[in-house]
Amino acid sequence: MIKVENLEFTYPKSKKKALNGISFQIKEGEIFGLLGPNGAGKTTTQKIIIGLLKGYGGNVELLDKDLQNWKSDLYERIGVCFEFPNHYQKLTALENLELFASFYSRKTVDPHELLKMVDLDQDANQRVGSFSKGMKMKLNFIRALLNKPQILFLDEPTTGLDPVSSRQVKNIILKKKKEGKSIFLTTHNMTVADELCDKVGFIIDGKLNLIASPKELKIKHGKKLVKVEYLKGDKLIRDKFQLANLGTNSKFIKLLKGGQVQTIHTADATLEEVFIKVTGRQL
Amino acid sequence: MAYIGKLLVNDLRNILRDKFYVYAFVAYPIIFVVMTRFVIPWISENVYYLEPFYPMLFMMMAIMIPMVFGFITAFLIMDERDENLLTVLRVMPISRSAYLIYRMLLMTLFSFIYVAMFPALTGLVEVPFLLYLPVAVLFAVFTPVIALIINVLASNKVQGFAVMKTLGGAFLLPLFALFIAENWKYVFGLIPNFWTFMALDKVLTIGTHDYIHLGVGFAVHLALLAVLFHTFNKKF
Repeated sequence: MIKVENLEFTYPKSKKKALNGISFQIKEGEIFGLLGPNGAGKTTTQKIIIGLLKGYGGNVELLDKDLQNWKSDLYERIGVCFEFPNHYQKLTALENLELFASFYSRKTVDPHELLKMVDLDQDANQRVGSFSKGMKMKLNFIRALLNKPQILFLDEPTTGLDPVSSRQVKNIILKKKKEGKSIFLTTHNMTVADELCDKVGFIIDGKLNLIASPKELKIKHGKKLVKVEYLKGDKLIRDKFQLANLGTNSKFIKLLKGGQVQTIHTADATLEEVFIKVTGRQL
Repeated sequence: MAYIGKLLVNDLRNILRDKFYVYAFVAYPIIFVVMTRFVIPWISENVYYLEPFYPMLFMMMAIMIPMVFGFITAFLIMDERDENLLTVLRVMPISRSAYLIYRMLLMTLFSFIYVAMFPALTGLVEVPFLLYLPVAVLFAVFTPVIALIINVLASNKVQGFAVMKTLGGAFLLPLFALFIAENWKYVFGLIPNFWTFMALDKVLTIGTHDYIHLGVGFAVHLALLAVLFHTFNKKF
């Protein structure tokens, strides 16, 4: 679905390369997260792939066709959700969606259905100017789904959302993945990336340091330990056990049998710890 | 092209749901008519005899029409700029340029209808309608020029007001050309509406078309539009 090879880009009047040899692929039904701090090159990469920046080096292929050979019909088949909400403030949520839907020649999703998906159906006839930031973000998100896109580009899709709305949006993203859509996600929120992405790429100073699945990374960079918290009297005690031979570790088995165990966790690294370890940079 | 109808409804909603635009769209045209139909003749009868200046006063008021409609267009585009909607439009399967051209054509059409009716509405000048028609088009073509100049020069609405105020004065300068008989008046030729004024002046004084002023007028407006549109697209 998306194939990026050796992507390079330098902004006019800048001597430094904003992107330096980035390569990755996103298959059908896959979520790829591009992670990195502000200014690392995430948005530049997205802008090139969606055709907003010209004059890049390397190759970009979308839906089996070179990006350079796509015309405006590309936008019939992709959906883009920008980081900041962009709407006609004086129009209602429904009017906004209907206007954008009119731009597509293919059949679009019923705006009411989309509004319902993110609990905005009650506010359909309210002007967007009176919406909270979270409501505007949700409207931004569902607008990207109007044309049933085969590829979705999501830039920080959960920013500014309360936990319930964030859950809703993440569930929709996972549903789209199940439907076979390819999803390109840029974020600096490691929890979102961890939860959603099949593969993540760490980008720093325009270079892609690593691509792997979050699960693999967390295991690879974690410690092979189990952390146990248990009660001894009314005191909470913490202990660690090596994963190897855990089944024959008599102290561990005794603890389990004693029924005083409160929590057990493996010592996987968090995605954030992996990022810092791999790139040497904080997010 | 089915979306054009939606865009038209969208633009009308955006205008009618904002008091400022409603005022500019409805009240200004009424004020212009009241000024020219009642206030100016009253002054001429009771305070100072103004009849020899009626053509000039007509031109002064008539050029305000594309300026007002251009100003509304500029601010509609600025609303889209502020909301980054111009970037969103670039990832839609429509041509953003076509979208902007449609918007400017629509407002130019409003200007044209109003300018075309202006002689009858004001009663300041008498001019055969068919003779006046191409001049009215030239007046109307000034609308997108104003819209784009404001957008190219101003980075926000406050600056937009300032640009409009400054240029508003500058665009009235070619009226002085009416008092200069010699070729010296052509120093105003760099200001696009100078040619509009001259074309109308010829129609009013000679009673026929003056193809040179009309032709140069259209050429100057279209060239300026091409440069401004190119600059706008590069900038946003």
